[in-house]
Amino acid sequence: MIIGRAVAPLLLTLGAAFALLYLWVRYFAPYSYVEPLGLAAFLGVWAGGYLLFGEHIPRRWRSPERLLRWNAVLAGIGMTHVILWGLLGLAVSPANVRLRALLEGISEVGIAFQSAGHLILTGYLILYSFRWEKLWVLIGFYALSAIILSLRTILPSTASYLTPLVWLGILPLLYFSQWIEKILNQRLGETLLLVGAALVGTFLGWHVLPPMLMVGKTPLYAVLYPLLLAIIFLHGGWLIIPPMLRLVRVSQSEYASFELLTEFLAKQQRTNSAREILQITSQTLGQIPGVGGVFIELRTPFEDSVIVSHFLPPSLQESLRQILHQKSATESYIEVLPSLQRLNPKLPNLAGIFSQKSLSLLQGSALSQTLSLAVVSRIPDGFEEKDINLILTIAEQTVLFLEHLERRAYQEQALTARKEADFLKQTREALLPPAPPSLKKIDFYVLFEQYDRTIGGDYYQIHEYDGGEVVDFWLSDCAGSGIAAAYQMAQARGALNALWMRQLSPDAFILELNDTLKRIFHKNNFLAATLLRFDLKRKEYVIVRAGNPEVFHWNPLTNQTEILRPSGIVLGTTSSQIVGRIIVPERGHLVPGSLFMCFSDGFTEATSPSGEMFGGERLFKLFSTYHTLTAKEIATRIFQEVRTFTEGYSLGDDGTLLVVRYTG
Amino acid sequence: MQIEVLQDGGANELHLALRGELDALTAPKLYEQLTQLVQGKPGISQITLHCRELTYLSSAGAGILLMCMDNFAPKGITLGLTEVQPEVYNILDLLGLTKLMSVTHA
Repeated sequence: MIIGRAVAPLLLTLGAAFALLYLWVRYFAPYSYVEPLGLAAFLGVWAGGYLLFGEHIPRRWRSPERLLRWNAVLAGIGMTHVILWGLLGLAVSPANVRLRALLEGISEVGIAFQSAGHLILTGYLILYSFRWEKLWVLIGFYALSAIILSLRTILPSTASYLTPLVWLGILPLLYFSQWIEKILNQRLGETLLLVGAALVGTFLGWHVLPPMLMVGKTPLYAVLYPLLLAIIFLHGGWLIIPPMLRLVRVSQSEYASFELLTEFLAKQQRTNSAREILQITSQTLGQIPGVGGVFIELRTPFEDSVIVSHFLPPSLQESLRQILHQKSATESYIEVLPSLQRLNPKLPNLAGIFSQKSLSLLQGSALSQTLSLAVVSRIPDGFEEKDINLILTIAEQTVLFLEHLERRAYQEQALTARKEADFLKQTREALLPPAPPSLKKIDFYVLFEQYDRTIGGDYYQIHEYDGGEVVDFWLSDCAGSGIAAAYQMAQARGALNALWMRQLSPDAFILELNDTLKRIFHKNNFLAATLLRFDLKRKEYVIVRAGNPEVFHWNPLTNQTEILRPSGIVLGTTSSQIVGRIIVPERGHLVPGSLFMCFSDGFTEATSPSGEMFGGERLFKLFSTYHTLTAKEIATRIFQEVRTFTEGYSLGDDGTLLVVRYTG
Repeated sequence: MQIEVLQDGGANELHLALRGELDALTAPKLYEQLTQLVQGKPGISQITLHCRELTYLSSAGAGILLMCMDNFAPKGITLGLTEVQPEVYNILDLLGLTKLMSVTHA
């Protein structure tokens, strides 16, 4: 190109010199045959101009389709040129031979230049994306033309039917021309119109205009001139009509793009997975006329990558994947390349569009997905601006749909969590113990502090039977948390109330409960419980401790507080034979003023901010201090002390305090 | 919690040292590892957990110990805890597990 640019001024100068020489000769020696000089002038100017400014023409303006449009522009200029200068020549008086010859000469040189331009462009179209078929068609066309022209010279009478044959020979050429190929694929009517226009143009150029313009003065000129005119009119038909059709098609194409995009959006609305989204994107991109292959990959931190591709051989897929993986996954990246060979000479000479975008995830702000997309053209440099825009729009929409999918999943997750919370709330309400009965001769109070306001393992119930002569105080703690613990607590509650119906002794009650729980509990689950039974008729209390903390007792007979810690084991894990051997109920006389306090480990394990546990000793001291107060006062005072100890923080677990005094 | 397999056991014994807290989060790991070790060492009859550095035992942890005991008993395997710190011993005692398995103080 450096050499070309150096030659350019010389070519321009030569072109200008030839033009001046041609005009000078034509004017001073009218009708002398100097057209080649004029043609050389045009070629010099064009070649020089191209060498100087050609590289500034964007590559997309040099695509086959654009070249055909330039060809059409050239044909338009040529026709205007012929008509304008021809008419001016006719307007000049025949007496003014020199001026008339000059004007006609300018017109003729224009025709020659235009024809040369068409031939060059046609040749370029053949050689661009070269196929041997195209070259043979071109050679065949000119060979046929040469034969027919020779026949016409030898046998002038054959011209009328041989000439159309020449131009019919060009049809295969039309077929192999990239853009015409598309027209042929699309509408038969348009093709017929095109061919018809070419034939009419040929007829006019060959038979009508030459006699009108009174040309054909020399034998060579008599052959060349009609040929040149015919070429002009052929191109008039071939190259003017397609751009006109093109104008119609642009609006149709825009409508088709709009339809494609609308259909794409409608399909994406119904997708439920990232793979579906990518498949629809791939299929839609595959429907764009210029697209030859699609590769899409969604890289995600949680699962394997999702890869979708369309019309691509595996080796090219892998190459495109590697190209995209070389880019930073967290940064947006868009590149449009006229040839993949710019990236790697081993890749095919096809245009490529690359797009990569990082998608933020709601579930973890530090994590992201990456959508990588590569679209390859069907033919070299085969993307037009509208294709590029459409492809990038679809890529952007795909990102939006993927983000929407992720947002939807997040919302569903939040909805599930909310439903679970609602379920827990409803379950908690369902698990609240029945309202305690109004008891004679007994002052009691239950303080129940839930840890997380949803569901805990603690449960208490007060049950009386035998006309209120026997009262059971039940306090239990189910291992575990959440829905599973709630479910098991609900089962335990059902078993409890079924057993109460049978009015069993404390020992039998516990063993029966153990049997039931062992059947229904999971192996690693268990229930820790305390049963305090008052038998008012016998004036007796019984304590069964099954894995729960000890029971504090203030004995009015000794005027002392004591810790009752009968032997016991958690329920639901081992056979009732073993449980029966371990559990030893503690019995005693019930005297007026007897005070008991049962509690769950939520109180003893309440922790201060420094990490110290409240412990059983502190609890026992408080019980001893407050034993003269009412059941409610004792419970609330102790709770206040525990809250002071934890400095207002929650207990860390469910806490239940059950204070019972026999008043006699 | 860390679980370390100690090498001082006999042919039919398995000794493991537990460090840290055995709670709802770490208990499944203990169960999984114990099950794998038992499967990988047929003929084992005694598993001893050395708990000198076990600082906390939750109800879920106690549940896993019970489940291990229950699963291993039909295979003739006894589970025991040794060198147990007072805080952890109190919890085991409270739950009655000291009456089901061999538990010795630190």
